[in-house]
Amino acid sequence: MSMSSFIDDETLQEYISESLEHLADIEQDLLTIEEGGADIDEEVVNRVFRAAHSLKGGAGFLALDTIKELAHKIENVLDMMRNREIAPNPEIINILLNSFDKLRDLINNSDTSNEEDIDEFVVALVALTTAHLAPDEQASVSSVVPITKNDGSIVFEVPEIDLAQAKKGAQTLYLLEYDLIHDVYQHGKTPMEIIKNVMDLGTIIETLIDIDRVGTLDDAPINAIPFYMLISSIIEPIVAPDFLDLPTEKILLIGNDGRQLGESGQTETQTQAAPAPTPAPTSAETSSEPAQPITPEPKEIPSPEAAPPRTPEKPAPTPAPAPTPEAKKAAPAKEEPAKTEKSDAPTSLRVSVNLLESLMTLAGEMVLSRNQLLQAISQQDQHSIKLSGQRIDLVTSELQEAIMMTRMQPIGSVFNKFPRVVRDMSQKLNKEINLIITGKDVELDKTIVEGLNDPLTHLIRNSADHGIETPEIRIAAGKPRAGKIELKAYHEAGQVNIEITDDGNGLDAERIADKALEKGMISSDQHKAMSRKEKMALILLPSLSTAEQVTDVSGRGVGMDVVKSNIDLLGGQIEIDSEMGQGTTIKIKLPLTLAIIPSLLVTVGEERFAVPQVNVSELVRIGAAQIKERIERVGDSEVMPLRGELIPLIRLASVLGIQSSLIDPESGEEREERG
Amino acid sequence: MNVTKNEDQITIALGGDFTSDLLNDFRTAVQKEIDAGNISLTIDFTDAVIIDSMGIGCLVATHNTLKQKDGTMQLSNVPENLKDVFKIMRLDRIFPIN
Repeated sequence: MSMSSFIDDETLQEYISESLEHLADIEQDLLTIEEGGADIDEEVVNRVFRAAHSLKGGAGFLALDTIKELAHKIENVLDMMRNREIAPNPEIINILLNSFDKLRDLINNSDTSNEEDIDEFVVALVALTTAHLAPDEQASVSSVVPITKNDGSIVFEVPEIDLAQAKKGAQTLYLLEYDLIHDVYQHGKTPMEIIKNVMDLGTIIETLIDIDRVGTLDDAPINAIPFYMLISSIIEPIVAPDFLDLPTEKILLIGNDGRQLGESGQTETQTQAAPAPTPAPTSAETSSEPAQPITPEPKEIPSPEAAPPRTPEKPAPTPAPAPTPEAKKAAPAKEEPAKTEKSDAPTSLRVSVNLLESLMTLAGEMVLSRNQLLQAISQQDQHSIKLSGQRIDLVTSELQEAIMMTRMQPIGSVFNKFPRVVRDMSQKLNKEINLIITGKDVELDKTIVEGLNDPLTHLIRNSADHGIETPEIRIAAGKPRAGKIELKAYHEAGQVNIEITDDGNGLDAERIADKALEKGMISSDQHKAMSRKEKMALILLPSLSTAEQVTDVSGRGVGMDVVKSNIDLLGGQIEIDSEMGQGTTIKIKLPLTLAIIPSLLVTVGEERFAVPQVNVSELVRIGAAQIKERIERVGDSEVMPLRGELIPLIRLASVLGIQSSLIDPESGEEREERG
Repeated sequence: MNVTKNEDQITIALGGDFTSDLLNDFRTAVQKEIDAGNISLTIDFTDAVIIDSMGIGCLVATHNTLKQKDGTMQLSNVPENLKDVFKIMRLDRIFPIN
């Protein structure tokens, strides 16, 4: 039963989206780890470890070998980190960040990922693990462990280091005893298929064919070809026989010391019970069975403290010091796969159940109202028609609102990538920058959130590159050594505002204006007449960059105008305010949504126009009979007195140069309007 | 099954997949060489894509037989995918695979 035969697009898609979700949080976690330095927050490291681990596991099932290998190497480093064998430093975090970047890349292109070259990353990661190997583990490179069955026979010897590496990360060691005749040939399979299947499920550490059992050509026809495989895998013992297509008694669990776990003969029943410690004992507690608690545990994992007094009938088979670390390792290892990864990472596809349910309710209401309406229409019941009409009106608005809610996304999904951006840049530019983010929870329409990514990245980069000065300059200017960039999102007047503030050297309005003059973008008259703020706004014009030096980070003069046009596309506005030497504040005002723009429809002649309701302050309706009383003429123009003021009237048709028409209320025919 | 002789080296070319269908022919060919005193054999894997359990058993048995008589066996022209299988099964530690 090969796993690969089950793989369909859906499984792959699920893996990809799940993986990307895992990866979304990793960056932040890695930066947290870096901040912590040697003082490791195990919870965070474990979270990253588990993410890498489940990426690896999934890749294994899907035969994405390159992804699996990279994830595996990353996992090794993280494992050493949580065991405090590696202290995180910026250099190590860099390697991990880059490796995760590559991993994301591979997952995004999973169909071609197996052809990708990941040597660069693997070498860096492996170098990390070997350089930081604990002294006793370094020694273990040369020593070998005999893999011993319970009958005392040694199947083969494996380098201790291979065993230790393979066992890491919630892996279980299995010794598989395939008979190439009975378990393979007679099942209609080839050895190649068996090996492929095992490689999909785990890692092969060592194998052996018992060639003596095969005999020579002169002997009786071959009836058994024992083929041993020592593998590490994340699959649980209880499902191993199904996945491996091998009877339970031929799958032996191997401990860290290379010895078969459990008693021979009883191995399988015990291991099958192991992963599911059911609450059975609690129900049995009432019955008076004193022997009950002792039986299962000590056999599986002999503990030196418990062994001598409790089980006199059988001394621990292993030397005293060995079992303790094993017992410690075995316990968390079994729990890990069961733990679900934190799932608070919101993606565009996630809709809260509550919201979905209210949508269902509203849809139900809608159907009810429609039925009422249909009935009312068939009965010509004007009153009921009106009532259902109102109901439908109400329900539709609510439905629209609820559906809009499904499109709302916290802006955090964009903000979260900036700590990494700022970190990488401050390293590159030798600056010290603190990024303070507030308002991650502010929600915006999905399309707006997505559209904000590029402009915000650019602005943040600008602040870090051109805004914040190097520590030396800052100290000379009497500022704190580390610069500060604040990224803030908040609601204001039905809009969302985003502010990016830095305490860097600010914009020189005069220099911007000079540059614009130099490039012929403004005339010298304009130059003189402009206010400081207007001059500052010039930076949003195309191809105006005041950076002294073009860096590889920003300053190519293709930035601010792109930012502006991006924000324009989103229906937003951008304002710049800056004080020389004090810093810059860039404020972006955005609508909550782009999906719906409530509008007033106006018809002139053949043309129809929509005026956004936000731009409509008041509607005044003047009936045909009242026109003469309410509209006055002052000179050439028409005016309308309203609450003591004269409001000038403008005819849309004449503004737009359209020949307007009107419909005669009596004859119903259309004709051109008189002048 | 095509057997060629070059100096003292006997090459048995499988000419296809090494599966149970080929078994009898192969045994006969090998036995014939051994009976003739040729105990240094090369098995040519050109055109072989698949090897089944019987094929592997037969290779091991041939190796065991030749070894008993102080002879040698080696594989040649093994396609990459089969080479991988042999390597994973550690058969490359038992006889040379080229």
